[in-house]
Amino acid sequence: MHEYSIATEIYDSAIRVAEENHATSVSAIELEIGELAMINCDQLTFCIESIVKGTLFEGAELKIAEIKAEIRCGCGYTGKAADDSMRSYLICPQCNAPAELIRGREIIIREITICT
Amino acid sequence: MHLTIPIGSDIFDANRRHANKNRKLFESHGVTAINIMGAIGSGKTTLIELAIKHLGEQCRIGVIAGDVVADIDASRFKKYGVPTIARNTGKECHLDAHLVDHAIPKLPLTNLDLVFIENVGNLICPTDFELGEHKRAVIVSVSEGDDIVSKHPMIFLSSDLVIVNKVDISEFVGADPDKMVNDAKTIKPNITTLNTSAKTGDGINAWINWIKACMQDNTVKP
Repeated sequence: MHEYSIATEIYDSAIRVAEENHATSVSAIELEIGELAMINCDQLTFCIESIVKGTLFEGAELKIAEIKAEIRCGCGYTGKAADDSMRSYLICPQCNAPAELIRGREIIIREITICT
Repeated sequence: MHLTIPIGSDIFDANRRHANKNRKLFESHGVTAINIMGAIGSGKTTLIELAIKHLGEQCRIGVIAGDVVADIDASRFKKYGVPTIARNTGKECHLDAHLVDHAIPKLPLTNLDLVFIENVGNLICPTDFELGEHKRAVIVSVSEGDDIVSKHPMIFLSSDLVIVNKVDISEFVGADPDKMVNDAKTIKPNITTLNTSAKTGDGINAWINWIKACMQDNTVKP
């Protein structure tokens, strides 16, 4: 539901980097989105494509990779949850103690490819 | 010439920075901040009003009232004489830390102990946006259907308290409050749960006690 504002933030951050590097156009933008982020990738793609019309980013290839959720426990375990139920993201699969969700909710601009 | 430039920045970082700044500001004034989330019509405003009525004599309360447009909720709080800042989000479906950051200087923090931040009515978007709160409470009403919790797991995963509200009408709307509580516990086993009814007063004392415990526990970071 907030994909448009997220798309705007992505565009604002990316255009700043493109302009700082004297880009004449941008050919690709690569995002990484956590599997638990409250975002719909199809809607986000649509919003970004709408926003970039008439800008340096028009026609740029948009690549989106998924970041798998990862949890960490005091017992030393760091890794995937036991399964994809919500409960499992808070419980260590090794010792069943409460665990901390450390990855999987991000929206990261990994890189952009520019033409100069 | 083609050039690939690594960026690696998380879109939520800027919000997180603002949230940490807000939290530190609350803490430097000894203020406990509670983010009140829930769907439209779940009873967020009414439960905050009840908290003001019950706690208004014992502690100094302020409210940041988020809404898409208008200041109807803010007007309800102002009637109790508590400092209230209305934050209209415009097109946005959630409050973010930046909007709260702009509201905080308008509150007399030095004269407050407790700030309620009433989020925009929504069970999805507020989840990812920390505001600088110490605790998160999510309110669901039985009239939303007793499958509402299992349909929106992420907001419960990130909350400290779930209130199942309007339990007095559960039989009329065919909803089972116990199922809603069990669904929340399944998602997050250590979440605190309360059943309340503003109409009958059921569970309101427990709601007040939870708030008092939050204030005593203010050194515990979310």
